[in-house]
Amino acid sequence: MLHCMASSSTSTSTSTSFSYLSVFERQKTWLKSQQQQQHQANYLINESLNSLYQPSDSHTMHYQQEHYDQLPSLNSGWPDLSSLTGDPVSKKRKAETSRSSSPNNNVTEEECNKTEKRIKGNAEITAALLSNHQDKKIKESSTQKSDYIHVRARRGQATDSHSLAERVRREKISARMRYLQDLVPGCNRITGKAGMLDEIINYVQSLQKQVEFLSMKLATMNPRLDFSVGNLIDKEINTMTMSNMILPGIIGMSSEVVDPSCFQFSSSQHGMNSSNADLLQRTENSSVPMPEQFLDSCFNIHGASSNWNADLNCIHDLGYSFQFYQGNVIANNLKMDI
Amino acid sequence: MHFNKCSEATRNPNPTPDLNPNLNVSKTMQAAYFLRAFTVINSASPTSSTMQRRRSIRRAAYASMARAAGNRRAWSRAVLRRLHRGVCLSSSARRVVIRRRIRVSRPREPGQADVLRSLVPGGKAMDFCNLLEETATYIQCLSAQVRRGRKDIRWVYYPG
Repeated sequence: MLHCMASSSTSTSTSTSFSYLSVFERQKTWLKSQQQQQHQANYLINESLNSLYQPSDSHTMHYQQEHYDQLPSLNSGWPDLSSLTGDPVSKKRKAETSRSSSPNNNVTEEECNKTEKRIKGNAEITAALLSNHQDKKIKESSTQKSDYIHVRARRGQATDSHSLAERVRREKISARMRYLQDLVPGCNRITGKAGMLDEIINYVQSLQKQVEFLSMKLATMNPRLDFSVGNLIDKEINTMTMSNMILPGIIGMSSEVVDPSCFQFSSSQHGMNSSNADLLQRTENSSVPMPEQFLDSCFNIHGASSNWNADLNCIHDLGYSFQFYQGNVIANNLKMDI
Repeated sequence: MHFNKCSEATRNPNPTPDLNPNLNVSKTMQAAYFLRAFTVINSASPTSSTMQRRRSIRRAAYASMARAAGNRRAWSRAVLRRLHRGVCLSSSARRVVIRRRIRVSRPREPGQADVLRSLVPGGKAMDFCNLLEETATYIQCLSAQVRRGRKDIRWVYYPG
């Protein structure tokens, strides 16, 4: 041992590359041996199961064969199995009738799963591929047919249709619980459905109470808001819906749903203010700025057009807030009767 | 009702099937609807009591939330149904509404599911899986509503 190490240390410069190569080669040969073992294992399994297995009732589950073919390293290992089991078949969640393939399918599949797992424990490369493979299973199986959800039983789990459906349901629920965990603040440490549900319930209750409290506050402080801007707000909503529709790529709304009633004021307004030019360019639609012009002219009467433009920009940036009304309405103490 | 005018605009022809709806649009829509309802309440009934005004404001808040969410969500549909039913029953001739309670058996749900069902509007008819999804969007809209309400109050107190 020492002799070997001494010899390796003396010629380090030349031996490093050589040692790397040797490690790589060693891995390759090891993988090959694994595959050969796999070959033998499959063969033995098939032989034994052919003699032992007895056909079951009509509710056998049939699994997909193509998944195995996709693994490059295990490709050589599976062809004899696929020839045995016949045509590739996918399992249906509500399957009532069995297909006309050999009855050995499910049992051999389980055995293959087991051998798969053994190899996974040994080789890292195949392990990565296998994990990808198992992640792909459900995704690929779910995209095939629209009315059924195809699920694959994993190793060590029951293959009953009911339990599979249960598992799908559980996974859906856990995915949604994870999403809710992100929504509700302070839930990162809580594990388990019961605790999470309690937190969610508390949060929803607190939010509802806050809405109540805020509405009460708004109700008590009303008399300050001394203006009637009902129509104005109608126009505002219409412009917002239109501008939201026009902004490209953000929202997929169609422009056909534009309410035509907002254009009824267009006839009375002709002059285009120069300060509106940038707004017009932004909106890209010639008919949109009409109500904005109208609004602008309304406010021009009271000499607050600059504030209005700045605030309209805020709206178009989708950062709408009540500050919009601050400079115009309350400060000038307007009473707008439209 | 003022809301009917903009009902077409809110119906999204391409509903997003994922759990995360495009909230940028709905925030502004929500704000606009609430604003409008708020001003209507202020202008329409200056002499009503605080309790009535509070109730109507709360109704307006929920209505704006539901209207902004549109018809894609079960809870928004339930809220709108509830509000619509309330209006009809109070104004027109009273019709006896017979509600048929359909008992649905549900497989192994946790105990808090019933509480959650009572909290989220329209949650009684859903299975647990959909209930969680509705809760998620409901929480999003409620928190947006609360944030807006806080801004409103800040504005009313500090308009400068």
